[in-house]
Amino acid sequence: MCIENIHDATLHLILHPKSNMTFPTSLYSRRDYLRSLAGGFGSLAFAALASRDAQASTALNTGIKSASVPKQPHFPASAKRIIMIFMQGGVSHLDTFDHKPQLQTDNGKSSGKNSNAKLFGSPWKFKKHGECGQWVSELLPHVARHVDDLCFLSGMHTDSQAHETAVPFFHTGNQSQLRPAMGAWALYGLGSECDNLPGYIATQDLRAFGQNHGSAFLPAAYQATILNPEASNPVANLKCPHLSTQQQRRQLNLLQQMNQQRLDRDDVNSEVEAVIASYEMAFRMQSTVPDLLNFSTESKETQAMYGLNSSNNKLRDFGRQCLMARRFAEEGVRFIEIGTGGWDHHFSIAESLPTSTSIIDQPIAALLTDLKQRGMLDDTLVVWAGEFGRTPAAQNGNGRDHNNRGFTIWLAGGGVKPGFNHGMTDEYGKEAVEGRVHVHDLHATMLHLLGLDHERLTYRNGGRDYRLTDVYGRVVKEILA
Amino acid sequence: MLKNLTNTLLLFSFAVFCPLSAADPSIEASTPQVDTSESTADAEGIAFFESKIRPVLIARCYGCHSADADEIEGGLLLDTREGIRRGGDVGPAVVPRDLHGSLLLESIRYESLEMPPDEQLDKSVIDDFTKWISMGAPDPRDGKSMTAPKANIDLEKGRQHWAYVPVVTPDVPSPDDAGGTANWCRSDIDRFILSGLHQADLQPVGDAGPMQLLRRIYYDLNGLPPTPDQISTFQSAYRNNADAAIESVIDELLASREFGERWGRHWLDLARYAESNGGASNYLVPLAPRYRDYVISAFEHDKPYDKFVREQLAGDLLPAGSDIERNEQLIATAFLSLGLKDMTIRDQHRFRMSIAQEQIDVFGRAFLGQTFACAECHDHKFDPISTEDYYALAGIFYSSQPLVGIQDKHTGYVFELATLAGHEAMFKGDNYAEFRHLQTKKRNSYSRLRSKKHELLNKAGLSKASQKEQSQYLSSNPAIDHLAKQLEEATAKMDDFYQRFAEEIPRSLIAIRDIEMPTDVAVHLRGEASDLGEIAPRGFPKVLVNDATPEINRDQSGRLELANWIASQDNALTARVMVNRIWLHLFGAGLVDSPDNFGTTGQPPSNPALLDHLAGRFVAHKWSVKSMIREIMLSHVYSLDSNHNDHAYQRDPANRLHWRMNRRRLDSDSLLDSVQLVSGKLQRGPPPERLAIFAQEDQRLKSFNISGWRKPTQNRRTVYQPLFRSFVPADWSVFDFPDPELLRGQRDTSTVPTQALYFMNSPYIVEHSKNMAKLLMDEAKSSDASHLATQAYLRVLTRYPTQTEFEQCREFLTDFVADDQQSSREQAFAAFCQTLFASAEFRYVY
Repeated sequence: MCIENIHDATLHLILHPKSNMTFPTSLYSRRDYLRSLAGGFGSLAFAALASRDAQASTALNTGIKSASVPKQPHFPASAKRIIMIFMQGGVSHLDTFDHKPQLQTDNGKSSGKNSNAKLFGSPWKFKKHGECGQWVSELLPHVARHVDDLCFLSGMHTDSQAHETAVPFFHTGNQSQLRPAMGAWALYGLGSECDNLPGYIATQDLRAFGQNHGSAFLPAAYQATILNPEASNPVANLKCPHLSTQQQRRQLNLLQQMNQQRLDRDDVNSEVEAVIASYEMAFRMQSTVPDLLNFSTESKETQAMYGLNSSNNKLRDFGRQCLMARRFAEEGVRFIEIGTGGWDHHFSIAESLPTSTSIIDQPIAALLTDLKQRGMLDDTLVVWAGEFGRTPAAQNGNGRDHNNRGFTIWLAGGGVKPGFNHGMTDEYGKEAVEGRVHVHDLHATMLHLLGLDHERLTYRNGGRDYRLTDVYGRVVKEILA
Repeated sequence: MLKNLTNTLLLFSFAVFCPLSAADPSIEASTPQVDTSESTADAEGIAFFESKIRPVLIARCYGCHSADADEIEGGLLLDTREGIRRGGDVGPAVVPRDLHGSLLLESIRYESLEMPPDEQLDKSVIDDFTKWISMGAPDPRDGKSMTAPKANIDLEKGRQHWAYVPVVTPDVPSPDDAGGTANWCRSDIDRFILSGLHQADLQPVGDAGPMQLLRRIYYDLNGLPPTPDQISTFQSAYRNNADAAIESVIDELLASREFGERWGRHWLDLARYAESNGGASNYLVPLAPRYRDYVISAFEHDKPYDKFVREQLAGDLLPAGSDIERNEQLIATAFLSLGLKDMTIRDQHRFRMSIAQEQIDVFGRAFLGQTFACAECHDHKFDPISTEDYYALAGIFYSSQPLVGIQDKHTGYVFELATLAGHEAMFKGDNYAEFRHLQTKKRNSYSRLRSKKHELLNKAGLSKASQKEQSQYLSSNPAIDHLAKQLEEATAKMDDFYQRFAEEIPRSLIAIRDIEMPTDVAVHLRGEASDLGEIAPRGFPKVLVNDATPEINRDQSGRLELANWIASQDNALTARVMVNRIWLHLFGAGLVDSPDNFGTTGQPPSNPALLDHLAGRFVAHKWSVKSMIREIMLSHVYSLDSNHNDHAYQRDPANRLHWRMNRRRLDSDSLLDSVQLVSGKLQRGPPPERLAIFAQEDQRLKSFNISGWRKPTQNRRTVYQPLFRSFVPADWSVFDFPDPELLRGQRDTSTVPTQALYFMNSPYIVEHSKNMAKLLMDEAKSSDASHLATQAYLRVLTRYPTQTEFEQCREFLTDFVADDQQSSREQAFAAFCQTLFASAEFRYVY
């Protein structure tokens, strides 16, 4: 795989005496193929499929092609897709996975010479779980049962300690300048395998923290489609508000007829072909997205497992996100980001944190179980993370402040070591001291698992080659299975 | 394998590398101080080096890191003692006895860089290196290392680059204009084009039909389709005299307000225009629309481009004949001030440098098509631009202060605003001090009151009592009353300040000005503010200067000279870059296909002589954008059809040589504006100025409810609608409206299913289809299908329907109602209108 192929997003052919003149011959065969079809709405989908299967390397100069044609990774991938579970606000590692007995022992002692804040031992009991013996607090009993599938990064650190900068840093590798989100990079590198769904989906609108799901200078086709499973229009403009199905079908038939007539007049017109294909896909999305969000087709057990019957509304909604993630992953969506906010526990953590963990514990465990029993965990990378961790010293007497110097996240499936821990923080959990992994390193590793070399996945903008990892990043080889 | 790393290392050297800061300052890159006594001291150490270290260096490192290497990677030479200790682009490789400061160790341990890249050294070898560095890194390899493998920039060679060569008006070719293309050429532009086509054995296709051409002209000049009245006026004129009709419609549109709106929008893409700062501190910038209006007006009134350039870069330093001119020149400089500022940077120097960097990037690409930003950390890898050149420019911007009116608790630097001529300045540094003082006072009063309350409640054992109980208990406490009164007073003072702030806003402007003591800045080694090299006197990139380049007045920032240097016919880039942008907006692709990059990594022009011809004409026309546009639009090549031709397509599929007109997708502005125009809802002209000032302490966008802000302008053209960074309306971004943090000379034109959904189901399209159907049926007082179809086709597609299309329409209207007897004919027709909006034909200009 060479990088040039990746640049075909904007295919510019220049007539130059020294270059071999190339032209997309497949246009012709494709056009003939289109003509040979009986025509009418629905048939063009095959054309799109056909070109996809043929790996039309002479991809047309349009977004739909560049985003939807799958591309070869740089090297064999262990993960085909990523489900990222983002906990906005910053989860306290000290009360979930990073057990610090010394902190509990020194509870109430001064946290340092220049600070009035006192050390604050976790109010929760920790126990070792699984064969790997990972410590997990009593707040996450369901997830605790899966530790042998999880790969913990307990020495995480990041640059920024404010949400407004740490959230975009986590998503784009840059805290203040606009850069493409990691999902956009993944889609740019690998294309999409879906014909009826966008390749990059996110459920949380994080725009209060800057652009976290955008394509920035990458072609716009790589931006995330925001999908809100609870909205009447889960994807913008998905539902037809004014026509009956039959009428809309009639309308689209007329539309595609017009487009076909235009195409006939133009003889060769890849843009019109792309427009035609985009209506096909949009029409299919109108039914596939609601179908995928209609969980009644799932067994009662599955629904219960994800907490869809829970009396806790927030748990139920998050359970729906998790189930949705599995279903979209099954359909081949490349990058799926789900999550919840509300992890910013500056006050009364003893009351507020259990509320947050109770929402996510059961659904995440269900997702892991479900992916595993379907054999999907092997090629799906699950990433669970917040933008940073929290301090061992108390804030406001009973809460915890932001801590970017040490925190814990975990990965699962997709080629990482199961039941494994890498890295650690100091005795109080304040700072990562061993096996330190920076967010840039995490990005490099995620791309690596997708078969992409973070140093070769570049895009030229303003005369410079840009990467997700800027000039940093190291693949955390220690955790590769 | 090693070759593959080239790219990596190039990238690696772009930015600051953190481990450096820990390095021993005595081994700074610029002043290598090598303790030579070591070389003879320790025979045992030398023996260790000879047996354990040198062989490894030779076998595994010299390939890329010695004087003999084909290409020295990362500027690092390991073949002498001096070289290994001085290190490469990122700092010393070996610092004796400092295991943490020795980058080499980190790299061979694969902790940062992974070296050697092919395979990690054995653990025992790594241990040897560790031991050797602990011993003091004894190293007998005397001799001067090649000084910094810094490639000397060859200016003479650099000046040969096509874009840096002075514009010399080329001879107009005389292509064989006979045969099938007798008298094809209408102008010199056509002679250049035809000559280019002939060289590639190509012929132009036939001409666009009159209606097709009319639609093209309307979109290119106004971003809107013609109305039925405009169509019929044109048609009758065309029957009289085709050429005159086209000429007159071009002239008429060039003179319209809509022309300013359309071409102003193109410029705003380059100016990364928005009404909020963006990024982590997304502050509102409420005065930004004044710059937008300045740009629109500049294009509408055909402000000479050189003047336009000069005003945006140094309007504050130009003489003004009147207050009006003065104000206009001031607001123009908002171009430099509107960029995203990283308010998270606490260090004033770094903060100011970051602003200068953004300004260099934007002015360089917008006016000169130069990617100067690449030279921030190292000499430009591809273009003959050195870091000295970069910091010479940086000094100019560092000596300038953006006046944006942003109140941030850390950055008084951008707090101020410029004042309209003839008024007393209000937004001064003093006010910032006052603002900070009042703010602190208010906050302190608040926290004193809060802690007192806590204290009293705790004492009384009421900390968990109900709010009612608590306030009852506190209500008659004199201490609380006293503190509450203090807070009240502090708040009142703050409010009063904001009141004055708000009253002053209409008399204020975003702008830039010189700082009191203009200063040069030193080269920041590797872009690091803590690692300074030589002072770079303010000036312009050496490769781009010539005898005509003005000297900088050391008492000023140098922006005035910068502006004059750019806005000059002696600058080889300025006219070329701008005519290419004009060409791009008229043909969908520039003669240079990388409009923002005329450097060596950009694309060469497809027709260099034509580019220079146009640049020459542009200057000859006194930099009149309208004259340039007019001249291009009156050429034959502009009026070509966009149809396919097998032979030409095989030779030149991307149509770089213009054998036909490109088909172009409507951009988000044209698309959304057209729909409103056709539905009869578009309100022409600018909205009333919206200077509502949001007098509150927190000016971040997230503390405002912005959702309602579009409403007052929702029937205006999109260029007039509020535009905030991170909150670009979804309706726009689905059609590739660019993120306004970034300069964008050419927009993407993607085709994605979310666009299809937009046409099928969005409230905007559905509503305006209804409006259109109602409008047409009311106007016609008829529901006859042929009549309605004609009107709809004319308005949406600027053409008459064919017989087949008449029938399709008739059939659709009937069947639609038959599908559902509840549906009215008007609903059916609305659905039909929607289909026209959704059609590929509407979405493209042919």
